[in-house]
Amino acid sequence: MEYFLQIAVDTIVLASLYTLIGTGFSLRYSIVKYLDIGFAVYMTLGAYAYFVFSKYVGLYAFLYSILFSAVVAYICERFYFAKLEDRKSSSMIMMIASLGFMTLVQAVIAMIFTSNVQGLRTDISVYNVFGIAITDVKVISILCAFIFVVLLNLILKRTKFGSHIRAINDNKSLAETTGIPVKKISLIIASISAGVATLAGILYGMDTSVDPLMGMSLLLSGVTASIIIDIQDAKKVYIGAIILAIIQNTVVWFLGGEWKDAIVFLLLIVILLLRPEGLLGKKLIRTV
Amino acid sequence: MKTYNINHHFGGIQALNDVSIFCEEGKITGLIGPNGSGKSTLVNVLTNVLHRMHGKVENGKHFARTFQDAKLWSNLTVLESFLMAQKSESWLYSIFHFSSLEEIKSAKEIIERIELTHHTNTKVRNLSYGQRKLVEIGRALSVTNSQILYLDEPFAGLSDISTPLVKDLILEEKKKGKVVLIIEHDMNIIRTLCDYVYVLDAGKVIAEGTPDECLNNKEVKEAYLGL
Amino acid sequence: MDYIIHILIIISIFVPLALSLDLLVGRTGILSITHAGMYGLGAYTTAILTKTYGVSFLTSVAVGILVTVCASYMLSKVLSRLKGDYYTLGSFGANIILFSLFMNLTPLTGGPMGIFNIPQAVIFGIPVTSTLAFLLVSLVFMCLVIIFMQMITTSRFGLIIQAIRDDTLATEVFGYNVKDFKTVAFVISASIASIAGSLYSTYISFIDPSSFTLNESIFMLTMIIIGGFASKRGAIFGAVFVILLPELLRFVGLPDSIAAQLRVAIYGAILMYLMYKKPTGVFGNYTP
Repeated sequence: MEYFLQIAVDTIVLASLYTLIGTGFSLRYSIVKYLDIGFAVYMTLGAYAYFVFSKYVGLYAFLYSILFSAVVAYICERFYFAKLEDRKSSSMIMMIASLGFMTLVQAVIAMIFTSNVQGLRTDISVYNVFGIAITDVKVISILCAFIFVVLLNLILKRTKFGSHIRAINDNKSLAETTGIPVKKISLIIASISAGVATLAGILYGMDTSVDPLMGMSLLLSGVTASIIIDIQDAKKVYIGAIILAIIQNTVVWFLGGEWKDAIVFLLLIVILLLRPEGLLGKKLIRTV
Repeated sequence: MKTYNINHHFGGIQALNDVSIFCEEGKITGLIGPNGSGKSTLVNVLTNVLHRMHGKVENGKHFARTFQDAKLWSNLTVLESFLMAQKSESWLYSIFHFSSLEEIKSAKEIIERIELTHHTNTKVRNLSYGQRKLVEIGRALSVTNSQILYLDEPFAGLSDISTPLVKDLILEEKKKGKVVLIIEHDMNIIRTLCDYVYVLDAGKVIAEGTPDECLNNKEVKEAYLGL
Repeated sequence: MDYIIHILIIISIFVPLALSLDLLVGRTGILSITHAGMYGLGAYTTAILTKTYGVSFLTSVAVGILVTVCASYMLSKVLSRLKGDYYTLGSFGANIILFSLFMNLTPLTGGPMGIFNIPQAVIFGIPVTSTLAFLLVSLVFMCLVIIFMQMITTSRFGLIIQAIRDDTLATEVFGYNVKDFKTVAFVISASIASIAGSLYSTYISFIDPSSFTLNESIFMLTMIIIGGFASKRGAIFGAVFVILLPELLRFVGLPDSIAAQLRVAIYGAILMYLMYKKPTGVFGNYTP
């Protein structure tokens, strides 16, 4: 019974992370309309930034890392990616560029910090509630995901900014001609999504560990979670994330952690086989 | 070629409503109507671009078509594009298929007909808009054994020099006894080229007859002006 | 001198990899990041069969091709359900799954330690003992692949796959079974990679999962991005360039671990630079 509860809690924590990643990624996607692999960068970059900052400013490192990533994302978007987009580069070019970006940053991080797996925190306090181990990180993860989903929903549905985002998602060129400041919003979203990625990366790193390749595998899991149900609706991403996390944890429990990544993809493929039209939101599929 | 009760909808919108038309061999049939009336949708259904939801089509199998927004293979040369259009084949056959002299000759003949001989080996992406429209038509003409020719606004954006050329090309196909269906907006072209016209509005056939009959029809005039 | 022969052997194994990847990515327009996985299937099949079961080299190559054909056929069918960008994401996943299989099916693949003491090739009764002899074998392979590529690209098949890349719908409307062609291109590309893998494992006589990661697939992609899409010359140039670059780094005398990451970082930077300045690559006939 205790095992079951433990798994349940850990699953919700994992699902929370995946939700953050999935929604953060789809926020970015809705603006740029290409698979920005760079999102994985900010998870890794952010986690390692926390690693460095925490040595000087302790827990404030959260804030600094998120700001750091947001600034980096802003600069990269402004001086590189936006320029490519201006040229009406195909999505293949954009994807390859973001792939190059990820490869570059990943390698640089590995050079500086070595490829070894490292922990982000040593002073984790574990609480024992009804026989389950709960750390403060786990609680924060769950809270963060919940808050973010609610916040995102509110912003998208109730604010002018949110309606602009939805307009750009629907039809970018039309939004531009209507006077919506697409470029400005693009930059803001780039920073925000980088911040969310950083948050997810730090939380993951605190709960587990960090290594230079963590971004990629987290990204894939997060995107799969959002694909499972409906990428448009943040609430539904949560459900997808929970399903994914449950399956993943169950398999890991029985077969061991090495299959973690493979399971995610197997699940994705199974889902796509069962429902070829996908449980996918219309907006995000581009016909070949 | 005959169609019976073609229906098509996109989500909640009925794009085609019981459309039944009859196109005679050796005659040019026009398909006109205001924007959004379903003209391209009909052709898309007839050419398997859209999955036919309802209705019957007779003798609709061997066709060739052009697209309104010239969907060409930009990195292929004009010659290569025409060779490809001649006949479709299986992957296995294609691996061992190297274009024969005959095939190349046929393709070059069409290139000559559209007067782009000096661009035989030019990649399509390096051609001007007008030239591309000609290639689009030439590609449709390259399809061997086609009985039906669907032309989706073939004259849009053509220069004054090219327009008579395209007219002649279409008339040649008509002489060969093909079924020709043209979607057009230019009423002069409709009057001079078409033998019979169907008028679509909001997915329904609201009138049919000779070009003059249709263009003088009160309902047709209202449909065009009303929107 | 031995060093030069070694480099030449590596080049003659990677040129076919570049050419076959170009067939899929550059000519058919399918951005698939699974090549290292297919390469791995050939490598592991040959390693397992020749070492554990004493199968002859050529037979193991044939079985490797068979395994790869089956795997790539299934993979292609599954991935084809994904549209546009999601295809690439799915191909990432496929590579990760394959990598997981190499890493975790320890009784078969030796797990993270890999397989060592792979026996030398015996081709038509003649043992290939010296590196010079192996160079001969790999050069013959490379030439055969070049001839094959020449044939395929000038045939109608070569034209049709490029048409599929340029405008899939038009190709479909003109009567071609696009799905079949795409699958065939995928399978042919994978099979050539498989043979290259078999050669690699026999030559180095030791393989481990690290040669078949996602990063390696990206590295192979870099070859044809530098060389240029839809160009045989480009693929050959790209392969040579990308092989020689780390050798130059070696002369600078950096510690091995840093050098390895630096190589990856440079590839990332090159990708970013190329997408910005010259997405067509050096000899490319097609801009992505």
